[in-house]
Formats: sequence, structure tokens, C-alpha cells
Amino acid sequence: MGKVLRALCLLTAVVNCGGNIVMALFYEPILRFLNEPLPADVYTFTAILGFSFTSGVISFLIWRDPPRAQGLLVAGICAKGIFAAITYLFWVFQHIPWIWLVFGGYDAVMTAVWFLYLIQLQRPELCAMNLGEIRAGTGPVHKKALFISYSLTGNGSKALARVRKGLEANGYTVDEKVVVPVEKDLFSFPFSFWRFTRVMFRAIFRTPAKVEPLGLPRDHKYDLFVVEGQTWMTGVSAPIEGVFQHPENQPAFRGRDVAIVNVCRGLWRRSQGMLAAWVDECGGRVVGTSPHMNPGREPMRVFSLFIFLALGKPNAPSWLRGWFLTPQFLSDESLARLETFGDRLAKRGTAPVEAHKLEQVA
Amino acid sequence: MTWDNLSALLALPPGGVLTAMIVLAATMMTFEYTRISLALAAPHSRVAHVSVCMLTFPLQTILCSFVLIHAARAFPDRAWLNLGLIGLLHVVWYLAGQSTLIVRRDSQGADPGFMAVGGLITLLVGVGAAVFT
Repeated sequence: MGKVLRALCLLTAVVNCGGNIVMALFYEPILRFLNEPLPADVYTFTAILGFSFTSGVISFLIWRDPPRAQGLLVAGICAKGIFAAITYLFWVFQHIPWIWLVFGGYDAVMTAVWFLYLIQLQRPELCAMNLGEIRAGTGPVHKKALFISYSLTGNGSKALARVRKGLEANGYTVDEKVVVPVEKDLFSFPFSFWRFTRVMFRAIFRTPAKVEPLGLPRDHKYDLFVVEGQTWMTGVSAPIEGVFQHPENQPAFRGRDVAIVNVCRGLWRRSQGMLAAWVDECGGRVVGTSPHMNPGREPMRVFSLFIFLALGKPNAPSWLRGWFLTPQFLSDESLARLETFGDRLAKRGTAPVEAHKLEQVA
Repeated sequence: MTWDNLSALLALPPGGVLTAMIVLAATMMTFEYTRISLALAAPHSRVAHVSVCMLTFPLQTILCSFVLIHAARAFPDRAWLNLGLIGLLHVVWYLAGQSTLIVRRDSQGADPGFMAVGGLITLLVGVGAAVFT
């Protein structure tokens, strides 16, 4: 699919650059042939051609080096999307010649194509890991792992217990640090209505939560961190992010392998992206990811979650049990996959030092 | 073209339903693609995060609710029909999300859970608009 999207970029570059040069040189005979009126304002007409030519240059640059052209894709999406929208509305209300609608239609399609291409190009290593790949670590391996967790309901703790089983079966010694927020009373379950509302708005506006430092020396012996993050309002939970925001904790991750486990109702992608970005910034290397969602079908799952958060206990009220409420803890299948994840993490290889350094430089 | 034109279009007039639906469908697609592409972009940005939260369902719900109220005031006899049109927009919204799975298997696609929350709010607004106009 990536090849098709890239080829469409080259096609657009040729169409935009070539087409606009041809149009600028021969617009009179072309418009007469199409039985369309000549432009009333030649300056505006030429400016549009120049703008469209530039869009072709952007397309060419994207085709040349797609992974580095994500900013250009955003610029291209805005340019083509806005042109398509304006052209369509002016065709409807001002009855501009139909030929502009053809150009606008092509740009509308390319806007969607470039959105899809952008989505494909973002952090491809996360995609590979989400599909099961375990990356080689930075080494050396001392077979000591530290779990960093913060679980309000116990769902995340159960998940980590299974990862631990997989690691320990391969000779790992596992320690666990449960994150302690400074505002303990705010971040405790079950919630009151006002506390839930406060935590929700803080999660939306990314208000940091101060946490107590992990207290790890820089030369600690852990070769692997496993970080468990829940999703709160599409982002990672504030106490877990607080671990990475704390300046005393950041050096502990430098040069170490980090695995990310996400446990949530449904949306784990941004939460995982946030954690991966923090690991990168602290100088760690993400070696594996394992996102898991609670079982059940939507939309019952989302309503069940809100009922669970409101009442503070699963499977309540009883009259909704059996036909509406979905489980609030991971399925046995997910837990089994987490154990396999731990097993595979323990068996991860070590990347050549040169390759890792080159990656960091890149 | 003026804002009056646009306002008239969003009233889903009998002769301009197709045009209005094209504009609204394109907007819904843009919202969904933006939400999914922002998921991994600017991970520490508050603006990006609030945008993702708003694009999960509130913005779509505000847009659809506005259209339903606006259209019901302009053409009260078409208020129930408009509910069906807005339902179609939710299908477009879902398909836009799911289309990202073609290019990236871990994109998660559409989120029918929060879509349902938004859809329910829109439905209540739409029924209210149909009953009270």
C-alpha cells in the first residue's frame, strides 16, 4: 500500500507541475477548445496556477523522501483540502467553469490520500511492535527488570503479573515500583462525581500530576523497564506520565530497554505514542509494545466503563448484568498474550552498538 | 459566496441536500482523519491533545446538532428526514475511520463507542428539534 501512496505522490507532482506549465503557456487555446470563457482576471488566474505548481513541488519532495516529509504532507493536506473546499463551494454558488471542479475533485481525493499516507508514515516502528515485533535491545542484559505501574482498578496490575510470569520463566528477576502520586486523595478509586470530573478535565488539559521519585541511581542494574499505562481521556494516565516528567527519574532510562504495556477500554494509540516519546526523550529504547483492550463489543463497552467508574464496582447494577454490561478486566486471551510478551521480551536480542548509535544520530 | 450561502446550505434545503451532504461528509472525514493522524503527533502538546479529545466525538456532535436545529427551524416539515441524513453522516464518519486500517493495521480505525455517545446526544437533539419546531 505504501508503494501505491508514494506513486500517487509522483503522479500528483507530474500533474501539478506539468499541467500548470502547460496551462500557463496555452490557456487560451485550451479554454477555447473546452468552450469555457477566458479568465477575467489574468493575475488571479496566474497566481492560482503558481500556487498549484508549488503544490506539485511539495508532492515531488514527499515522493523523494516520504519518512522525512511528514511536515510537507501536513502542508499539502491543508493546501489541497482548502483548495478543494473553496473550489466546490464557488462552483455551487458562483457557477465557476466546470474545469475547476475537476481540479478541485482531484485535490479532494489527494487530501484523503495524503492523510492516509501521513497516518502510515508516523512512527512505523510502533506499528511493527504492535503487530508483534520485539526489537533488539541496547544490552548488556543482566536479567533484571523493573516494572513501573499505576493501576486504579487493578486491571493493569493483573496484566503486569502475567508479563512478570513470562520474564521470570526465562531467568529474569523482577522488581516493581508502584507510582505514588503526591495528590493521593485525588487519584484514588472509587471516585466521587466531583473527583472524577476533576481528574477527567485534568486529563483533557494535560495537567501534570506530581509523583514521588523512583529513587533509582543512574548506574542501576535493570536492563529492562516495563511501563504500564492506562488511557485517560485518550492520553496516558497522569501519574505514569509524571514518572517521566520528574527530572530525577529521567536519567534512569538512559541507554535502557523499555517495554510499553497499555491497558484500557479502547483508545490506546495516543497513550502509547506519548509513552514512547517520553522513553525516546529520556534516552531509552522502546523494544516492545503490548496494547490490550477490555473485552466486549461497542457501544456497550464504553457505557459499561462509565457505569463502572460511577458505581466503583464491576457488574453493577445487577439488572444490566448479562445482557448489557461488559467485563472491566482483561480477558484470559489477553492475559495469555501478555505472558508470551514477557517471554519474548526476555529472549530479545542485542542490537549492534554501531547500529544503535547510528539510529540515535538519525 | 457569503456566509449566508453557507448558512442556507446547512439548513439542508430541499434542492440542495446533496450539496450540503457532500460538504458535511467531507468535514466529518477531515475530523476523523485529523483525529487519527494527531494520535501520534505532538505527544506533549496540550493543543494537540485537546484537539484529539474534541475530535473523538464532541466536535462532530456539535456540528450535527447545530445542523439539525438550524435545519428544523428553516424547514420544520423535514426535521424527521434530516435525522436520517445525519445518520448517514455517522456512517461516513465510521467508514473514514475504518479506511485508515487499510494503510496501517494498528491505527485502531473508528471508535464506535464514543461515536455512539455522540450519536445518542445528536439523536436527542434531533428529536427535540423535530418535536418543538
